[in-house]
Amino acid sequence: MDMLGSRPPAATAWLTRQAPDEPGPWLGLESRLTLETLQRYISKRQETYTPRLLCIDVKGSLCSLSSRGSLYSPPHPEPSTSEAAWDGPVDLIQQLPEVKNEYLMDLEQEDARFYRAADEDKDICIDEVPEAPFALTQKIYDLTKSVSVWSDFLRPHLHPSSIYLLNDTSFKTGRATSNSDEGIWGFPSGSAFFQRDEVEEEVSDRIRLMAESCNSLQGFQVLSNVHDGMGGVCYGVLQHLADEYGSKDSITFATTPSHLAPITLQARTLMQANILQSYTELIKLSSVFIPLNLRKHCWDFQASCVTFPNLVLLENNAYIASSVLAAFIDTASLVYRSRVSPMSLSCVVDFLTPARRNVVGGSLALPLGLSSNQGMLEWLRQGYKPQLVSLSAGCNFTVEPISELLIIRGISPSRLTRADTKLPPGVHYNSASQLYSDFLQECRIPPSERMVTSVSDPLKLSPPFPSIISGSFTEDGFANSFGNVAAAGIIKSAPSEAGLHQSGGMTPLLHDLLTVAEKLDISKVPALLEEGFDKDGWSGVVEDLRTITLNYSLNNVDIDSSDDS
Amino acid sequence: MKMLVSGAGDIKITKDGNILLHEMQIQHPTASMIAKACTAQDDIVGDGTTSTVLLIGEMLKQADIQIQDGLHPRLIAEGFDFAKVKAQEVLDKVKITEEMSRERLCQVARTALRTKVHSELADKLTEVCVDAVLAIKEDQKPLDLHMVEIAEMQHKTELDTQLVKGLVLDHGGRHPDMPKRATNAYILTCNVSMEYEKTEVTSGFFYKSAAEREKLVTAEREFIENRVKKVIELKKKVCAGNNNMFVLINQKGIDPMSLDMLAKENILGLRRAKRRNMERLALACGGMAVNSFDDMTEEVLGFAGSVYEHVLGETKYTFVEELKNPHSVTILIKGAYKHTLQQTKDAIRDGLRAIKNALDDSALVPGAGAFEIAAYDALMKYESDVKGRARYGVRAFADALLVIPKTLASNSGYDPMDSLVKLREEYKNSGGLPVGLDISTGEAVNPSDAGIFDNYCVKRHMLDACSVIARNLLIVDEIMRAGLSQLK
Repeated sequence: MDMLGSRPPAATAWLTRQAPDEPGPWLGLESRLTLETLQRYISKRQETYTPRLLCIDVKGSLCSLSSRGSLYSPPHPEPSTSEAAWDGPVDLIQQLPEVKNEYLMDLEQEDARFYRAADEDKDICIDEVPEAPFALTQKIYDLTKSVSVWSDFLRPHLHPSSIYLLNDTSFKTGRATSNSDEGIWGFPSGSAFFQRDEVEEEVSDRIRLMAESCNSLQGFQVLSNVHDGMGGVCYGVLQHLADEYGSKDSITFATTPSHLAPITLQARTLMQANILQSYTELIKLSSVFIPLNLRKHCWDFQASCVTFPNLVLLENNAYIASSVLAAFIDTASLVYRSRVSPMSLSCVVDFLTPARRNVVGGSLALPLGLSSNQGMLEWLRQGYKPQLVSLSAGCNFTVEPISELLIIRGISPSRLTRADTKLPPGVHYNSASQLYSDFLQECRIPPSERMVTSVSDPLKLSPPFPSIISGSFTEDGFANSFGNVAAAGIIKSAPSEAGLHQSGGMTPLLHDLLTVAEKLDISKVPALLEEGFDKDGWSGVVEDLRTITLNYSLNNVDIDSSDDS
Repeated sequence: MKMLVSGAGDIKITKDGNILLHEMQIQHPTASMIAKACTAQDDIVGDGTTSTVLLIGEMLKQADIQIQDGLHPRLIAEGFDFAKVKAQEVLDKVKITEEMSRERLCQVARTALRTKVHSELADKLTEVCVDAVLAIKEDQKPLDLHMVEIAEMQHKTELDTQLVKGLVLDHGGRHPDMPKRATNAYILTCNVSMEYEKTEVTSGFFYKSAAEREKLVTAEREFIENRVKKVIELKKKVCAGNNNMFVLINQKGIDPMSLDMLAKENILGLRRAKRRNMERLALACGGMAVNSFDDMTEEVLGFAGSVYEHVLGETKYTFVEELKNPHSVTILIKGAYKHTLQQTKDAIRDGLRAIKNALDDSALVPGAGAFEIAAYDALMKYESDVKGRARYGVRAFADALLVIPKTLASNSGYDPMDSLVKLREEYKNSGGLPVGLDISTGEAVNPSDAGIFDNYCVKRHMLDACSVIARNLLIVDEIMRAGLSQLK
């Protein structure tokens, strides 16, 4: 989960500069369990380290990353038993250091150079680390196989209070049933876990400290996996946010991993139940809820993945899948976190959620497809369009569209039109957003309520972003028409577009969810009972889900007729 | 003491059985049962976790010997039950019931703390913990340990840990012109938002001219401004004619413009206070937290002799001190490293629990293995009264109890059996006085004289938990694992 407040020059600089790293902490690849909650605020004055992020993960899933983050501590001080406040003998029990992949090793070397250089001032903020030297950005890594958890490709240094580990093994030990083998725990265990005094106190305290340092806190951006108990933890966090920061908005990105395909029926049902309940509860508590899933179906774990025209995706690789979602979140969130003309979060929320419909679809076009010698206007006039691919479990956002927010990045003003293009008198384009929204309006493409934002920084694709773009593209991600292909296939950045859509396309998704929820008989699945699901609770979930779906049906008869059939 | 270093370099220093168990990856169902018993012990009484594990282990070991000899597990379990009842009777007999003086509390806290940190620090923490509890203790009211705030500061060494008779808040004023120090300050605690909020319903903002827009903006602002003005009004009223200062502590936010207004009036404004601190503030400084600024009177204000800010790295601390009659205090933990802070914090938590237990029970049990020796003696006598083969279970229980003094002896470098003989000999001659092991000499000692005490409820709960778990494990005759994947 992740979130934001108002925008600070310095902090956004950090974000934009570090853009490609975002995939990491945001999505949390999953090997054992995943990263769940990130919290990000951006404040006007950089009094504390930004991004303000709180990341909740299960103990043991950090691998080589220290739970204290690496911002202030030079890596690996030699532990010494004299530090223990004890006058008897002290046993030193040391685990073998985790094996680091090539990318992390290179990062470490770079850090070592930095620490040597700044030996006198150890407290220096990592913001001031010189830009990655050449070697690192030039090198191509193949991390697809070596990455197992998100910290394996994490580039930013995290603040010591960024990471909170669910420091208990109670949901792992003592489970005799099969689902423990697949490491899935249920929504109820997650939310029960969050309610434990020490967990809730610590988490709310960290959120409070970050909120305290914000001068004008706008809201929270929450990013969570919802297929396991983390949905429950996220539910707890959102409840706390609603309780304590009632007037602030929250945007929730709920991801379900596309690489997980549980083998046993029990595990599959458990995962479905988790998804259903998480969706329902999180929709109720968030201002905007954006389901993200690369598969075309949100709980069919065999459904095919969405395809992008110019991306090669390995379906079952979490690292690649998360990079796509990260590219989406990074682009879409620009609407409220860019330095130029940002919208306030409450505007975004109001715009996207008419009539209590707060489930919003997301889509991404990467790369845009514009070629290197074309102006955007010509390109559009030739009948091309950014091909937005839905990331919300295959929802078709062109059905009954109501409102949409489009964010285009990476088109500099010089690329809008060719020098020799004749514009009608009085027309002058300064930004891609202006041009694009005029164009869309002219073409009368629905919906009429649309907002287009543009940012000239492209999406950075340098490591650790995987090289997934195929086809011939120049180094800066434009389609290539002259044969000056990027050397060695390195594409450093690319223009991209993301969309947030409020449309009738969400209705089938919710209907499907409701149908499954109604069919599921909790009492017949031991795995669910063991995880704390119960019949009464479940009928509550179904009821809530029905209410949510009702907001999406044009007339209430819709629902009734589906009940009869 | 164990120092655990993870693969990523995270350090954890502990000796607490419960924490260690949680660091381990436990697979075996029996082990996880024991771990759960241990967690329960920690949750309920806060101490005695290692003893629990030791005792269960030893009980099963003793039972195993009997089972090898052909005794049915159910009979042993039955014996355990008899023995437990008897042992608890002994416990009631040896406990010392008296009014808890400060000295007694120090002794019990010291006994608990010495097992967690080195003795110099333990003595320091003992004073701190006892004073903290005595400060928040009110007659006729249950003791609420939450009223002792524990704050951490990564600064100096653990020996600089101190008790602050007041509160330490982990945030400070967010305006450069706000006073950094206030003497004789009125304290207003409130839960009122002082920042610009979005409207509850979706609304638009329409205007025709710049002037009109300005007007709308001011109108929106006015709502918040009125709140701030009310605070300023109150300040002017109470501070008129004296040199007192005014401090505002808000649970909600305060935005920069409001901060600015407050700073101009020389008011220190703190925002986003911890929810629990609101309660503590009311107890510490007097006054009460308000939820609205309407009709405020002087009565809602608290008072503190001194409020000052301390900046440490990127964190600010605000100390609220010199209070008249604080019913809430803060233990400020200091230490050079994160892991030493954690270690001290764990120790303090145990120390506070031990004191609370002693106050709740108004009874103590002599420590240093004295209870176990006494119980052993009583059980051996009782054995002959038990009819049938269950008496072997009683004996097994009695033998198992001895693991505590044995472990004490071997941990201090003495021969366990040797010490055991000494203790039993001494106990026989003492005529019912408790006899424990002096770990510095290896000789017998009267724990009451040496000031070594354990909590009554810890021992009682330990006996309960151990016999129940051991009993349950004994009568399990086969472990079956369910689940498809196990059958592969």
